[in-house]
Amino acid sequence: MGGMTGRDRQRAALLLPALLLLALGFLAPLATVAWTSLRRAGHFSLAAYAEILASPVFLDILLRTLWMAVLVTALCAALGYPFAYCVATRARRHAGLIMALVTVPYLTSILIRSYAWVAILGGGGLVNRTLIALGLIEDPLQLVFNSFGSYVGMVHILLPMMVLPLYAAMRRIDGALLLAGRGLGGGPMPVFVTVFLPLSLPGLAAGSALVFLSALGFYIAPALLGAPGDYMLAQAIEVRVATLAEFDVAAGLSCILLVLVGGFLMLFRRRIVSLADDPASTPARVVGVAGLRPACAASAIGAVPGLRAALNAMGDAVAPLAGPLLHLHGAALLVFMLAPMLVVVLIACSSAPYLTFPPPGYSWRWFMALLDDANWLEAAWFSLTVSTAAAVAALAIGTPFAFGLARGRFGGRRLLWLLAVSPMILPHIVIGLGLFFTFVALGLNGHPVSFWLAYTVIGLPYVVIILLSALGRFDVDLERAAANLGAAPMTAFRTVTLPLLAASFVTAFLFAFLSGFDDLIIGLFLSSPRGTTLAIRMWEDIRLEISPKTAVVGVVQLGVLLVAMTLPMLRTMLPRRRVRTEA
Amino acid sequence: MMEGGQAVEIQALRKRFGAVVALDGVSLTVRPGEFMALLGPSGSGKTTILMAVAGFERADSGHILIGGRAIDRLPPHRRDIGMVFQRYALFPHMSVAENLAYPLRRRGVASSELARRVEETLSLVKLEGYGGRGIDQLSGGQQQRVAIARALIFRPAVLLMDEPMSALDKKLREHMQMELRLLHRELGATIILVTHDQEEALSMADRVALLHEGRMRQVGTPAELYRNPADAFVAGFIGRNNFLPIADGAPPRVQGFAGPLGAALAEGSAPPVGGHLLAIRPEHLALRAPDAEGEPCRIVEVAFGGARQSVLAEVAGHRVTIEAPATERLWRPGEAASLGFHPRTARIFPPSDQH
Ligand SMILES: Nc1ncnc2c1ncn2[C@@H]1O[C@H](COP(=O)(O)OP(=O)(O)OP(=O)(O)O)[C@@H](O)[C@H]1O
Ligand SMILES: [Mg+2]
Repeated sequence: MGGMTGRDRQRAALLLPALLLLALGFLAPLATVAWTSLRRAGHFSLAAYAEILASPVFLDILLRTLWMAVLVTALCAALGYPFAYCVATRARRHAGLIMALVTVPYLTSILIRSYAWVAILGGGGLVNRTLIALGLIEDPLQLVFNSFGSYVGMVHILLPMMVLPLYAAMRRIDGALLLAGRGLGGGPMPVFVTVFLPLSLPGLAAGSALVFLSALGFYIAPALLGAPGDYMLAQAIEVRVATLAEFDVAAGLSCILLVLVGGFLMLFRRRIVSLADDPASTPARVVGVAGLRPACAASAIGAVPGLRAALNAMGDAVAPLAGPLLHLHGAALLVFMLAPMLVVVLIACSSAPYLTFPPPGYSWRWFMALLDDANWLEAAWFSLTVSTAAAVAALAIGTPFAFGLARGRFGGRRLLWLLAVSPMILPHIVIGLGLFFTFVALGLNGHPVSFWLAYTVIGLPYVVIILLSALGRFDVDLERAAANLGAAPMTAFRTVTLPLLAASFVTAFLFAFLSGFDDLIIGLFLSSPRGTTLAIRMWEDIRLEISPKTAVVGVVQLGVLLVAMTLPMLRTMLPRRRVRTEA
Repeated sequence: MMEGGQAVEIQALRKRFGAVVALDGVSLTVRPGEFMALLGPSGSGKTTILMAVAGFERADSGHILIGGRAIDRLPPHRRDIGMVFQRYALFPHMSVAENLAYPLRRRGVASSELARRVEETLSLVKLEGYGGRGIDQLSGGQQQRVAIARALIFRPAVLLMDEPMSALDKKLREHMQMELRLLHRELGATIILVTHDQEEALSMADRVALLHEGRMRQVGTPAELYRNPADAFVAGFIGRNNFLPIADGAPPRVQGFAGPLGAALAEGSAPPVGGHLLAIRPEHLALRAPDAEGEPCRIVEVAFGGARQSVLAEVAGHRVTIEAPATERLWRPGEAASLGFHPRTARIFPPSDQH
């Protein structure tokens, strides 16, 4: 960074708070995990790793983790691709609404969604009751607490991560290109294969990478919906800590998981970076690739004489069915994604004293029960304050970071971006373990400050990603105009940048808040009598008695979310500020 | 309304972006109240100069003075320079009147005075009654006028404009060019207008500064640049020109031409030695009947343009464009003709860096 000007140095200084936070709340804990994995009885030792590698179940768990991640990725791709295709090409008019509906489950707690699946797939659940009522089966099928339940839960949770980048990539495909393909004599099928498919591949790659990496570190869905013995790596780590108190082995497993995810992350980083409006990537490269690929594919098709004819014939055969099938698939998938939300609402209003679906009647009793339960209220208050404080901090620290990264012209920006975003991608179980070790060493574990710091760290990536993409679209000339017209930097920020990016700031805050509020895994490590979050209360409740209280929390959260999503729409209807020009 | 413009002096400005030298020692003096056009091909450094004057880009070396005072250390918001951005940069979350009031608010102007000046400036750009409109409710031409009004309302002594017309269609552009000239005469501010449209520069500005690859190639009135280009680049960039290579040996002649050049060369031309280029404008070439005096040539293509015709002809293996009146005779492709020109209207340049 030798040739930095004064202004660039100032911009680099904007990164400092975030770097400090990441060093303290992310890198140091990860280092502590590595350190712990290498020590036994106060000495350096590889005993933990020896134990792990010697254990016959370890290989099972590792292979199962990889296999499940691959399968879930494939399922998400197979289900998500036609869905995104249908929304992007055939339902463009309602695309905004549909994508908003896809985001809703993405924004509600994983815990609540998994809980809803128990109600839907359980022995007395919706699916089994329907099948029995239809006379198709006599005894309930085992749909949950086995690997099937695990897959359903994981696919449901990760599907939006596949659909969103896919849809974004497909929307960018120029309709004129497809028409040109038709004009050059391609039927619908060859045009899809030679033009559309190659152009949508970056979205598929980005979605697959995100889903795969997240699936590797999954904990809640497999723990709640899977078979008791069907461990994935994250569960194995949790058991070592919570049940066996074998910290060095847990740390060793964490390091293995970290290396696995980190390795794949480095492998996929191009795909992921290109997805998130990376400040360092050049549009020219994207255009170049976009222009090249279809051309290559087209020439490849032309080179195989029979292929074109075969594709055409296939297209002709499938064409009349394709439209209805796509719409059917889209509708079914939307139902799949939204059903748990609906079920949560119905359960919350149930009059039954225990979890049953469909409810025998409706009442507010569970809302009342929640309001009467001091434990739950205390936990809710704790979650609310800690997550709000963390979201404020993440915004305060992430905003200068995003500005520095978007406006600065120094090297290493891609790496800094990846660092700030990695708390979102790396498994939270590992981050939680590291924070646990760190806070115990500092005597802070369970203190609200420990939650605050942890949730600031995991909220930061959302702030950085959302603000960077907003800044990428923001016209810098507007800030220059403000300065040129006499506004000092802070005034320009307050009067121009802030109001224009308000929606993005609100979104960033919301995501940062939810990342803390919905967290379970890190909370499980940090919780103590001094601090218990709402998610932990729900977790204990689901594991022990399964009352509809969790559903009530889900409904409240859903309600708040819907209000937050509709607020920006209301804001645009307000009249704008005016100067009274009549003297 | 305006207390007249101030001089802008740009002294030996240098600026690199990594390996790219954007400005390579550019100097330029703009007189008080002068309308100066900065002209040059894409990437020649025009915007960089403007950004340096406005304070958004710090030059590596060199100085900028306004009214004789160095402003190098002044931050942008304290420079008091009006600027019209290429895409106008109007604040989309404010009304037209709020946009105009913005610089006044930053200067603490009282609200009664503020409303009066907003009205006054709106009428200056003929947008009375538009104060309450949102920016997205304006046409392109109206947006441009708001941008100009916003840049003028705080009475800056210098007004910078970065290709303000490039987003307008041809007809509106010509209209706005005329209005801008009138406004300039009325206000007397110093204006620096960046453009890569030479017609715009030649028709609007008092003087034109021609940039190429970060260097100032020539500064002068539009007529000076057209009639007395300083080098082959200027000759080729301003208006159209035919370049013909001079042959080795004496007497000097164009390669392949039968007749010698003769002694009557334009003033200020380089000597007509071998390898140099002879530049002659299409309107200074004449086509005559094949038996008349001149170099024998063949018509390749003709474009009819009402009163004039543009003729592409081949002469001694060179292609030249001739701008001929269409009143006498119309030429047709394939015809033979004789090409005549007066050496006094041609200029001779060393062959270096023509384009
Ligand atoms: N921020 C920047 N970073 C890197 N290079 C830059 C930057 N700004 C300008 N340049 C380079 O400096 C040179 C001059 O650019 P400048 O924008 O001043 O040209 P211009 O004359 O305004 O061109 P145009 O007519 O295309 O607007 C170009 O080669 C450009 O690529
Ligand atoms: Mg420019």
